Amino acid sequence: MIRLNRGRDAAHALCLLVAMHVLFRVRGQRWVGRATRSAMRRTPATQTELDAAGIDAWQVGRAVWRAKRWLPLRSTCLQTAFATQRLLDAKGAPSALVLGVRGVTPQAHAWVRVGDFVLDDQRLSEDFMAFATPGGQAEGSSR
Amino acid sequence: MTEATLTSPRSLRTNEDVVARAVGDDLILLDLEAGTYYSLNGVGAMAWKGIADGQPLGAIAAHVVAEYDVSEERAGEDIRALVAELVEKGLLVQA
Repeated sequence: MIRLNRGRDAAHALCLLVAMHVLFRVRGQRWVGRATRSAMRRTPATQTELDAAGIDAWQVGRAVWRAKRWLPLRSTCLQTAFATQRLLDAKGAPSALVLGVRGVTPQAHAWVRVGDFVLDDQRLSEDFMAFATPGGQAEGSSR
Repeated sequence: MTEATLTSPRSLRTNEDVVARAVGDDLILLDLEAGTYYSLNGVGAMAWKGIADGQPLGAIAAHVVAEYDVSEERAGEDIRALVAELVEKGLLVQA
């Protein structure tokens, strides 16, 4: 049953990743910007809330990363984060998108924070300094 | 952007589509809608934070004078020029 659910999550994740590719292409940067702002402003579920709802956030993240490997297109970190966030939404677990920056010539990276988890398949978030939530102060937390 | 509006900082605010992150003395700005980065040096970062906090430009200039070896007149000119550029790029908007 657990394996079946994981397979279903990965199939759902695959659909979400495809949807993200379409949305990014069709709706353009302005939509991406607005969706990013909105996703960053969300308050993530606490670990206690995840535990009470029986949601394994790490497995949700893994389902997206597995689906990403099946997709013949290369998904960006932002598309992956959006898909992860929507899969968590479908399970009733709100999460927050985090954008980070590093380097003098800035490079950005996106990941998802929910409960005690940082969901980032590239495991890069530790190297990046998180931007503040839109409308917030400039100093963000490191993750 | 007229001189009058530039000296009325309460009419300006940071664009909600712009996120910021302090990196040392500098400030990295990311315009989410445009997908563009900007980097402000220490003085620019001070101006951005001051405007975000609703400080008058005169107060920001005084802060810059206190921190850096620069005349009040020069600091005021530089901040006004920076603000005009930030408004032109859409990073600051009318409140």
